[in-house]
Amino acid sequence: MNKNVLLNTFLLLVLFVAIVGCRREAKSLTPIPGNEGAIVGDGDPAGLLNNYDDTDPGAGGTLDGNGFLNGDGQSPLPDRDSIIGSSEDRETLALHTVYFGFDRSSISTKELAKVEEVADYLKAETETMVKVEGHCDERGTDEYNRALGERRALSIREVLIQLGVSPERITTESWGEDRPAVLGETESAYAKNRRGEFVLLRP
Amino acid sequence: MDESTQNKTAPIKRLLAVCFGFWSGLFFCENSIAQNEIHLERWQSGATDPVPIELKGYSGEILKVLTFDLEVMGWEVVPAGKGQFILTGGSKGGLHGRLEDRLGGGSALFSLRYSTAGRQQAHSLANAVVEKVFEEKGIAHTKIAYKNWSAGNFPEIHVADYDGHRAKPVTWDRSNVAAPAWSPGEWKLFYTSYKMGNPDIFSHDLSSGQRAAVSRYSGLNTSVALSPDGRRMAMILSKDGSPDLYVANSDGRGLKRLTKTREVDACPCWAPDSNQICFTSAMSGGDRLYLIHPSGSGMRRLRTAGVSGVFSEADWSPNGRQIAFTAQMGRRFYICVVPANGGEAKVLTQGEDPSWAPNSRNIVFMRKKSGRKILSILDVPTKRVQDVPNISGNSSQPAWAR
Repeated sequence: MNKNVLLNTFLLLVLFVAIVGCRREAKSLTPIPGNEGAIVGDGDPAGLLNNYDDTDPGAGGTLDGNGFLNGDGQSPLPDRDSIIGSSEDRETLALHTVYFGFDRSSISTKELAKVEEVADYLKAETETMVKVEGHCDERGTDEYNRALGERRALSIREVLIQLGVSPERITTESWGEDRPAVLGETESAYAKNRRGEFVLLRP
Repeated sequence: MDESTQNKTAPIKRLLAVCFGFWSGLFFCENSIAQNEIHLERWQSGATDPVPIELKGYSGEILKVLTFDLEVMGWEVVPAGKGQFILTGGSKGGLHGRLEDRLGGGSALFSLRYSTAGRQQAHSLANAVVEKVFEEKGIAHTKIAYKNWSAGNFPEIHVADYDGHRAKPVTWDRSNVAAPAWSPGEWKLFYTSYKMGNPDIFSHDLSSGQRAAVSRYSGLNTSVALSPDGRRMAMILSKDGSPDLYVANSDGRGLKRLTKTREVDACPCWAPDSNQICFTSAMSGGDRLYLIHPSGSGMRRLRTAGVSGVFSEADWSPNGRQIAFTAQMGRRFYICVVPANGGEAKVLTQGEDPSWAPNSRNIVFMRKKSGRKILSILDVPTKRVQDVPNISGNSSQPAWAR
């Protein structure tokens, strides 16, 4: 027991140092133009991106031109030791699976209601954590889809955080295209496979 | 060629000789050049047509191995009389072969004999032909690693000879695995496994069987690529809230975040001097190729003129000249190459996930054939494709050991 307290204190300290470290770093960072509110990053240390002609998709925390809501900011994932020993419940939120457009990771207004219900559920069930599983259809290469599946799970997580769920309660796992919900090479099969599933993690 | 075949062809040869004698008699003043009446285009270095070669005296498994090896590496095995090069030999008393160039004055380019006659000797003989004529190292003895579904519901990492022979699983994780990558020059793999309930990166010494989790952060740990000097690994992690590019020492220490984009960053690979990383990102719209120094400085977009689509799965050729990648256009995937300093990109063939062979000439990749995912090998100069035989089940994400 004592050991656990010590470990947790240590982990909190590590997290604190990490956050403080990030903040200090953030001062020298320049937002990528056109992306205000979404990314604050130093991904362009040489300032070279400013010279590109590509029009930025303008991912902000608002509805974009296609009616997609983009999540806001990035939040580090909780320590994975926090979910060790929890039991998985895939049933309770099975009907809340969020579906995505082709090659999209933003949540449409149509799907937003499901995330809001999940947020309400989590706010009421304070002992429960949630794992968001990101999946893709097969129209994408394996590793691209593994990253896209994660991006989808993270987008859902960002919306849950905006709706008031603690970041420490939401983990993500991407399966890329490796676990399709339905088999087949039809548009309707693809649409069912581009999804984010909620798995409750009970202590 | 066994004796019965020789007996059957002997009369034909005699007839041909008579005809030839008659023909050359008619044009006796051109008799001296009539020797060259077989129409042959001399093979030129850098040619885009396969080099015609005749295989005389080989049969069965040996002939199969020689044919596959040579045809993968830019040759075409042709009927008697059609080849610029002729490899004559057999298996009796150990595999042997004598290579001659019909346009090279008739003297043997080499004459080799091995003490036994098996698949490995056939690979060595094929390599000898390639090394003599192309002056580049053959790949007939190389290995590939890949993801394979043939043992029940779970994919595992398999390792095989480059021609699919001696394929065997090296993992038995019964969960999910992905993206194998070789540690350069070592009998050691890195890959993603979901064994611990999360996609994590493991190193796996194939001699000792020893495994280590080298990247097990929260969220995604995947797409590992070892630097050619073997010291570092590049990978995609999401622990900080977005799938971004990171580097660390190959034991997992010294982690450094290189990109901080909200969008998907994916599929890193290294320049041969270990001084640059190429990866794909949607940071400025469509998914494109980017270069970055492993210190995080000097990021720039690589110019890829002439090819559109969603790019991923970059792989830098070992000679440093070209970067292969997958371009997705609609529902189709294409293997493409672009000069490593940017420029005109070329579509080579349909398929996904290219991985260069050590000869910087061949690429192993995945393609779908009759609903099955199979591995195929592309010869880049001739654009010829051969399927990797001997592998059962679905396969994907091949990585050529180099």
